[in-house]
Amino acid sequence: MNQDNASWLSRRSFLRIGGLSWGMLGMNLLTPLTSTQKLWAANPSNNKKMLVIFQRGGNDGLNTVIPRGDADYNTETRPTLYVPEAEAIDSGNGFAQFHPRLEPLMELYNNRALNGVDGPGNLAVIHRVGYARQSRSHFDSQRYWENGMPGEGDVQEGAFYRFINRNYDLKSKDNAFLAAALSGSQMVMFKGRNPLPNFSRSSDFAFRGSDEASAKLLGESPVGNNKGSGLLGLYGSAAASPEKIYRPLVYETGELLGATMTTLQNAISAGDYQPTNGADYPGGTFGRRLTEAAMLFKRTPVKFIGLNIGGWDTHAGQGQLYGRHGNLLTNLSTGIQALSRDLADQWEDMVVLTMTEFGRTSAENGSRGTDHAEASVMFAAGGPIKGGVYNCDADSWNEGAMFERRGRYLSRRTDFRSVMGEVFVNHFGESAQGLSEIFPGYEEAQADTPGDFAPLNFVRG
Amino acid sequence: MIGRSVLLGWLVGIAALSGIVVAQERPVITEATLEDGYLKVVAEAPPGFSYAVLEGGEDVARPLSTALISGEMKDSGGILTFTLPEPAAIGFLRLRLGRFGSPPVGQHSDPGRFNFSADVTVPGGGSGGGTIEPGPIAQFGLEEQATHVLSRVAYGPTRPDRDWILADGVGAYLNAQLRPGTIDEEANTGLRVRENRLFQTFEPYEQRFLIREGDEWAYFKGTEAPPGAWASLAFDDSGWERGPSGFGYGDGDDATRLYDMRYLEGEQEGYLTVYIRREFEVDDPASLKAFALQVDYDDGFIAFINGREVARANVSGSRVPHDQDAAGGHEAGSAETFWLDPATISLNAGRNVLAIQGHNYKIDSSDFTLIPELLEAPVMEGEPSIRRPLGIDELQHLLHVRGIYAKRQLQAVLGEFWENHFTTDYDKVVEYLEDMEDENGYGLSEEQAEAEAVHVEYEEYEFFHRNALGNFGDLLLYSATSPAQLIYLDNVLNVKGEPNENYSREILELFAFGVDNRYEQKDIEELARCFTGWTIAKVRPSAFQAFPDSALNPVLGPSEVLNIREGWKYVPGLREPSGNRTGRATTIWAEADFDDRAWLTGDAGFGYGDDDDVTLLDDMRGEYVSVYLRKKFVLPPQFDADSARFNFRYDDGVVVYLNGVEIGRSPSMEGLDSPPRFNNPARRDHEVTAEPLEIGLASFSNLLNPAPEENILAVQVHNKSLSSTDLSFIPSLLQTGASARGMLPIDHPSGRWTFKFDPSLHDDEEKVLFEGTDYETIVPAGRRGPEGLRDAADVVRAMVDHPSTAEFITIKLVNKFVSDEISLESYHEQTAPLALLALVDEMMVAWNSTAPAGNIETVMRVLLDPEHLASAFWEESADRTKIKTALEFVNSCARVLEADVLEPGLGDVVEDLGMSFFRRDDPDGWSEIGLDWMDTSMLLERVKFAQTLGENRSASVARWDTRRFLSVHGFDNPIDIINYFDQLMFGGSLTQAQKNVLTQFFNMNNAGERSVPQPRTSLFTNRTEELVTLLLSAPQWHFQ
Repeated sequence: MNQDNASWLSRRSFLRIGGLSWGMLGMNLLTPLTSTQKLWAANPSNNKKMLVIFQRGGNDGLNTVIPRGDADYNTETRPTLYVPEAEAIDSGNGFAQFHPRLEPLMELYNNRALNGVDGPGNLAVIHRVGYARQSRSHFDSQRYWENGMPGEGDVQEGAFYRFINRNYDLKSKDNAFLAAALSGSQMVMFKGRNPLPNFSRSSDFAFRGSDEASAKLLGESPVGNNKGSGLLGLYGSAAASPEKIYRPLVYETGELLGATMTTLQNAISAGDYQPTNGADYPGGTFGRRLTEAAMLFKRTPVKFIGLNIGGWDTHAGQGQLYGRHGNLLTNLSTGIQALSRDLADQWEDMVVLTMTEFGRTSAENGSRGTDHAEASVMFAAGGPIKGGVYNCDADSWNEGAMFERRGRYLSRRTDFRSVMGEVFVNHFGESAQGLSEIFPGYEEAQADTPGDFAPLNFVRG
Repeated sequence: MIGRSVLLGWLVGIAALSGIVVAQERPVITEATLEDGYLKVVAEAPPGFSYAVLEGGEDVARPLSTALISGEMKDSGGILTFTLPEPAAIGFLRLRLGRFGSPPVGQHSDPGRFNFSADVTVPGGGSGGGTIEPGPIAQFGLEEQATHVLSRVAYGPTRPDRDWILADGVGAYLNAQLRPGTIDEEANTGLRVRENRLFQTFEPYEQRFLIREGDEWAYFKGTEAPPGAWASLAFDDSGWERGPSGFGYGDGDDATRLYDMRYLEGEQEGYLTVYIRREFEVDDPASLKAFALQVDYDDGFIAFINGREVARANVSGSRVPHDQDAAGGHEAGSAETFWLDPATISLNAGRNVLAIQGHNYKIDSSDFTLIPELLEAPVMEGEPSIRRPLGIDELQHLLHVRGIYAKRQLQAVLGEFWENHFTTDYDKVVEYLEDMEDENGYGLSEEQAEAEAVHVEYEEYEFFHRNALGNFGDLLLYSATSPAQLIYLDNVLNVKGEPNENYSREILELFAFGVDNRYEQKDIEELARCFTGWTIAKVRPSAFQAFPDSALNPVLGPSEVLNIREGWKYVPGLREPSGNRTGRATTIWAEADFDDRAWLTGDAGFGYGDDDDVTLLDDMRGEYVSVYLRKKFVLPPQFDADSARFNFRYDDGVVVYLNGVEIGRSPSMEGLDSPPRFNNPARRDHEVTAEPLEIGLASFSNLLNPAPEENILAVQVHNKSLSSTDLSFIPSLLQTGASARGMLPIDHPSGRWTFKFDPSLHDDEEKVLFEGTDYETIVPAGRRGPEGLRDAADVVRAMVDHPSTAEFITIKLVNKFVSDEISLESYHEQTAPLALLALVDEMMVAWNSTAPAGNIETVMRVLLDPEHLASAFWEESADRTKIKTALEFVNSCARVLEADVLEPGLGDVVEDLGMSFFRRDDPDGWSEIGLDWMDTSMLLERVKFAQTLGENRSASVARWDTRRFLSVHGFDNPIDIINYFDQLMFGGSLTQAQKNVLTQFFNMNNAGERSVPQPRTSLFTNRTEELVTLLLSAPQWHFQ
């Protein structure tokens, strides 16, 4: 049998190609002669941070931020879901109102002094966000929001990954815990060639057995003459047949597992986490994950965190003020409120961005719910955010907007890539050209529907 | 070998072509040169791609399956150069660019443009003929072939199977796997024993309630001790209060509410116990074979029959007083069954009494429940016994037992593949069964719903397993008619007038054609209408039919025998129709010879206010509360009154007369005079969508006049009040199909669920599918009765002949067994690797080569190619390029250790690893794509499972006998152990560096110090187990 050091897979390649083994050729042969210079962000070592919340299932934007000034929002179109004017919260622009269960967010929306800047607080509410040729399938549309490439369902590389990978050296051990998803399976937004960590609960992120046995099992990566030990010794060694698909993914995920475990154990060993500044997180998985996110922002080098809040697919029994949808809004808004208090020290550097794969039908269905539609609402919060209501005021909201698309759906005014792009450019200092690498097809989309990419200027530079 | 001169000539051609290609999205190969034994290729790449593959081959029809070179691009776009050793037999080059994803997608250069086969000299064989050479994997040692085959066709290598291949050869092994019937599995006792432990067998029995929920009991509140002999038959309970069961408060399941039972400070004292009694009759105690007490309780009770204790729960001690609390908390919600042995209980012929004392856990407890039922359970004579899995854990475990121990491995793998392909969700089935109610409001307990849901899920999986290499068309039709699927994707809700598109969308998108593959939204809608009337029924075990009879000659629901909606006479109930305003009510108006010529004429439905009315009574509201109707009809010639019934949907009340005699009235009219007066309102509301009034004709056959004589159906319809907002009356005359005779009530304990076609719910209008294509199908209108079944059944059966189905299924099989790098999209765009495109094409030819099309064995034979070992399955690109799913990972670990998994615990393990069979919410099934099975969270869970198994941490999950393993092989040093597993798991591919890490690990203690264990010590055994943990966690072990 194979006694030498070359892998058996190499020997197969040898047969067909002849002459040299893959190991000697390596991937470095695939180096472009000319290439665009890597465009580094202004200062990758700054403290800018971001939390992304994905509302899975499709949030009913029209009952979240209510276009009170549109006569089509009424008890005919929404017999059981209609929120009366007196129950809702005024946005102050004379057109939009908030669902009453968003009350906890008003602390952010109205707070003019939070960051010492005079003006509206630092919660931006962006209505009518979507993309051209909107998919109304959960699976496809979530994929597009996350991979930043509407129409490309096979692409499993996240737009946030591309942004991060462009601006930070993910091969560097220092950046092993730069971005993480608090999720049992990796969010597509963070997927890419260089794996990023994900976990459902940091306190559970450990092997079985004693600390000593775990340390032995984890071992050390090979460095120089040290061949390494344990798991890291295996995963850190050269992959057999690295040219094959998934090889780097598996080996690098193993190395990342070690780095993640070490980082999380260190963070946990700093003691039970106590939220500060009067932060009171909601119960349940979402609240727990937000609490963990705050802990990680404080105790680890993480700059990007993604997490999910599910349950927005309200086909039946959606509820008006106190039903299922209202409860979700309370959960979301108390969570963001608590986070903003807890992270007051970092708030100047923080952007919290929510997204959902689509909105819901403007008319209520026969089951007291709403079905899949197109554009919906995004929230952006954080010190750098210029608060206010965008795309839901008397000037921008055209008559008939609620049924403008196919006679069923609210029409779109802004492309989600433009919203994310403003955060990347204004908050993180990404170049405008960089957007076409973060969102392949950005320029074409911009040329097709320029209005959808008109800047909203909701992020301070 | 490419001749140098040829290549130069080709470059000239490139130069000539280069001007043509402008501003395209495809990469362009601009230069290819041979120099010093290297091939250098230069290409221009458009921006936005991150992954490149350079392919080549003799010509496009004979591509090398292995890429010449492939990998990621550090930056996207620009000029790419490749330098590689001069390849053999290259006639063309093709560059594919992709993005991260699986498979990599993107554009490629046009292969034809670079095809210079005419000028190429090919060494050996030559193009277009000669022998078929085995693929690269087949050119290596048998051990390595065995590792490859067992990693794909089986759930990973195990020593006995490897020995089998080494003895018989890989071709013989594959041929046997393709014909699983040729493999003797009867002698596989390891499999049989473990399978049998997962099942229970029981004799079908009836249930006859002696006491049922809602029956009236005598009860006594335990504020003080009850009279001495309160539980005896002789006791006189006439002084006790009376009320229906259940008894209690606080959780919404109580018919007799004991509000004063809970202690409330300063308000009421409360009490801990309640005593209840009810008599029941038994004719012949000796004939009682089995009977049982079913009690839903919170928190405890003691039950007595004729004064003797027969059952108790959660109460301790003897002579338990009224002020003793239950032994602990117990929540109600699912009744518990206590089987009683008639031999040990003294039952009287005639009167007996069941007496129960119920105990609360705490006097200030928030709830209390006591709902007892007593039932007889005699065995059903002449019915075959029923074998079903013990529970969902056992069913999930069955996949592992077969996966780990079966010799028919390919069948096990494909059985799982089809189960996942035609996925259904146990939890949704439980919920649906539990929510079902019969006309009396009775339904299934949670316990029964779970047992029956497991059974239908098992039957489905068992069919897919048994027919894993059979005909795809059978699998598809079976799935469409399987009770689990009918429930899961809502076909049971899909009825005429209110179609539900859920199943018709998914059969196209997920089960047969593939997403957006030659169908449109209109086809989904038309197909949904074809499927109307497909539902489920419960039948006695002897009436249960196997497939395909179950699908093609199913239980039939009622069909309409005669249209009695048209040609009614009617008159508003402004006075008695056969009297005057003050006269007595009579039924003269309902008789055959009554003169109704002065009445109005109209068609049903009659009414107002709810949009279901053909004849609108828009003057009724506020003016009159009743309407009188008459309909003459002639029965069809061969009319069977025994199986016929009238069905009336109504709002709010009806009284029905046949030839002048009342044959039935709705519950809302009970208690009114016979006949009710014209101005009597119905006594309660009844909506048209609620339970219809059904009147069987079996007992009225003497009233019926056979054809050609006329009959008169007469009906008075009453509203609840003058101001009611609606009224409805919709009649039909239905006949139950002959094969419905085996049907049982939905809550029968021993019935089996099966497919039922209900013609009365079927939309028999015309449907047109796949309009304007070669496969346009016109389903004609007017297929009535059982014929309507064909509307959808024919379409489903024709689906195997549609090219979309062949494409979708063969590509999915290639994804499962060969490579992730092809999808429906990259097949259509021809951007997938050429070898995979060619394989799919060959498999599609095989798909269509049989009658009926879609024979899986035939298609899999092309994929596995046991004769030549030359298909893409044997190519480099198939070798260890798939990442195991969670189930594959767990099974492969158990197989390589020959571990024992006696307890049904692996379903939970796989759930921790991110996969749960029979319990997936989404209808798309678990992904076969590697990217979805590797991230830090999943990897951690895999390592934790490796610890559990490798170190024997949980006997209830799995265990392997480390000592026996060491002694059988005589291992006394880590090197031999590592080499053993290297051969078995990795085909000998561990690097020396990795072996060093493993050896060092073995010889290290937890403090990280070198510590070499002596052979045959427990430390040596422990270190072996730790070593195995590390081996099962190794990066290579995720690949198959």
